[in-house]
Amino acid sequence: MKTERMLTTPEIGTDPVLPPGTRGPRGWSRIRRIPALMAGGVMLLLLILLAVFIPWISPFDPTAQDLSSFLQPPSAEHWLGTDQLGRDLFTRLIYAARTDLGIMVLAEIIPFCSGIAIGLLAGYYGGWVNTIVSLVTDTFIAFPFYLIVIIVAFASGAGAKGIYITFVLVGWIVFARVSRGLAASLREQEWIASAQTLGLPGWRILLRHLLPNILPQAVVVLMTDMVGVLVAIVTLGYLGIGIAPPTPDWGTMIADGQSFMTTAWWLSAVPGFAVVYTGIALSLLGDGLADLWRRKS
Amino acid sequence: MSARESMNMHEKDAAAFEKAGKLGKFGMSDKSGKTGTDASEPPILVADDLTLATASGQTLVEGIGFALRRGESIGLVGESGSGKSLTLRAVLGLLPKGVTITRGSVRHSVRSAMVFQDPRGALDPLCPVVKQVAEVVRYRQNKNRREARAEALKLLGLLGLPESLAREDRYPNQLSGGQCQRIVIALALACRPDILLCDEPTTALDVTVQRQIIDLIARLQSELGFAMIFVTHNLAIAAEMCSRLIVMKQGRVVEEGPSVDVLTAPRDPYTRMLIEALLQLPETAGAAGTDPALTGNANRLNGERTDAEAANHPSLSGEDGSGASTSDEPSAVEAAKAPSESAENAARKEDSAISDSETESQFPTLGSNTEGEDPR
Repeated sequence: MKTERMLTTPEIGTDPVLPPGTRGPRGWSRIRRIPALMAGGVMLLLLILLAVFIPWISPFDPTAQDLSSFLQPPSAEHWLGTDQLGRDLFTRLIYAARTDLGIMVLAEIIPFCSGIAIGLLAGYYGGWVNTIVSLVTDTFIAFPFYLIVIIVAFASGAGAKGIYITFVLVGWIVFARVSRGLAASLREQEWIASAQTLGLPGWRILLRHLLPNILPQAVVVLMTDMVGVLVAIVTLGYLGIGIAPPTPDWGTMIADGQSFMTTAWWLSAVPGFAVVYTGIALSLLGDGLADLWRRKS
Repeated sequence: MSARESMNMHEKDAAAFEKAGKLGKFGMSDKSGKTGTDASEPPILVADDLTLATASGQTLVEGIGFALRRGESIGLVGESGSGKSLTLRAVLGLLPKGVTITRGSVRHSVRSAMVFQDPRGALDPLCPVVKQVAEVVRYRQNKNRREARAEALKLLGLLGLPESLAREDRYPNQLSGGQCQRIVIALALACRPDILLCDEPTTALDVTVQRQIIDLIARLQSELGFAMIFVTHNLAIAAEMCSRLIVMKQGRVVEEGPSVDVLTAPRDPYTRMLIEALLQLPETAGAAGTDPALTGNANRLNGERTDAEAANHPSLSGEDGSGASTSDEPSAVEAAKAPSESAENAARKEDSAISDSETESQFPTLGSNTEGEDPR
């Protein structure tokens, strides 16, 4: 059969070997095979669903005080009890997730984009751009990160603004470093040289070929970096220079609960656990995505 | 194949004229009518006393000079580190960091495109292949997205890639090495080059696929009429593809001339060594040795030597025969191709001083490692 075909159309010269079925399982079934990705995804999804639907889940207002029923232990009515001002802890915990996760995502958008852009340009073009970017990133890394965060938070006043400013200033560095390294190593590969000799414009090589090749790694870095951002937000809240009360926030909740450690330990422990939970979810997701993209290529 | 064709250039021209109509739709046919390497026509590429050196002053290529005319093929042959690939990259203007032209020049006023050694490495791993070809068509031929895709699919059809690519685009890692090399050639052709630069385009492929790619490039050249510089360490392939050979050793040209002359009457001992280094299939060694067309010293030596080796290493014959082919399918192709090929060979043998059966039988064998050659 095959021989006959080759005889009748000797000029076609198609490889007799058919494209190997390297595609493997696709989409969902491939994701399902990576436990870290599944676990991280489910954990994060659960939190996001809760945060989105909390107004319908809980009958309580996160800021409504009820001084007649303060510091109650967990019960059927108050699932995680109430705090020192009689506010429902579970409701506040989930509303705090809205605040903190929202700021966390917003604070990473600009650094992620600008960091990758700077890193790509520096890595691909090299030369003086590369020298300047290396110099700036190394200088910023020499500073203790929390020192910068606290200084900016104080300077810009409490609230989410300080966090945004801080991360626009220093958050791009980690992405710039990662994408610079990747771009510099990819540039040495033959297909980049090939694309150049084939006459594709430089911006096209950067955006359509280099960027997709570094994006997976950058997203993995983003996941782990988000954990850092979350911890920074919570730390500032704990120190009293972050999210201002009465807006629910895990950091201020931990700080407020501290005085009642001996009688109502869950006041601090529960928001603390929420931070750990989110951190684990993001880390697992990052690992899982790395695994997924490694298997793909 | 083109070596043979250049022997009977008139036939080739006739074929080119015939094919010109068929190829009109690719917009590349205009040159194929005048592919004859007419000596009166000015060369389209001239390398003059080209010398390349590193920043530290180490000379890598010294005083290379050659001229390439329209439709002509030149083979650059030599062992690894002889500077042949570097010469090619100088032509393309793609010298590695720290290597510069210190003397002489490469001048050409026409479009050139390169076919790389490692096909997989020359493709963006995360971009589907049809998209990659269409992209080059779009930017080099100033087409819109839709036209570029149609043109790309036409090109891929010309290169014998499966039609299923039109329905479902694929990533490079979903294609075989040979198919990837076809894509790389398609990328090069999308630039409508006047000169195709081939940097060992078959070295990274299985032997049976090598054959197909060689035939493909030869066919495309006769149809599209581009000139070619073919870099390889395999003398047999170079002789088959090119009418003229330049043999390089340690950055210098040791011998230069028409392929036939270089092969049958090598003047330089290094060239002789390269010819001797070609292994033959033990079964055919005797037959080739007694071929009346082969009167050259080198070939007789070659026959004796291989016989001796075959006697010393009985296992060698098996390894050579099966070589890099890992499945049964390619051998079926070889078998299927054999009748038509041998008929062609018989017809051409009259005109060619090189024995086709010789090159043919040598082809599936690999260059020997005897003289420190390191096939990359």
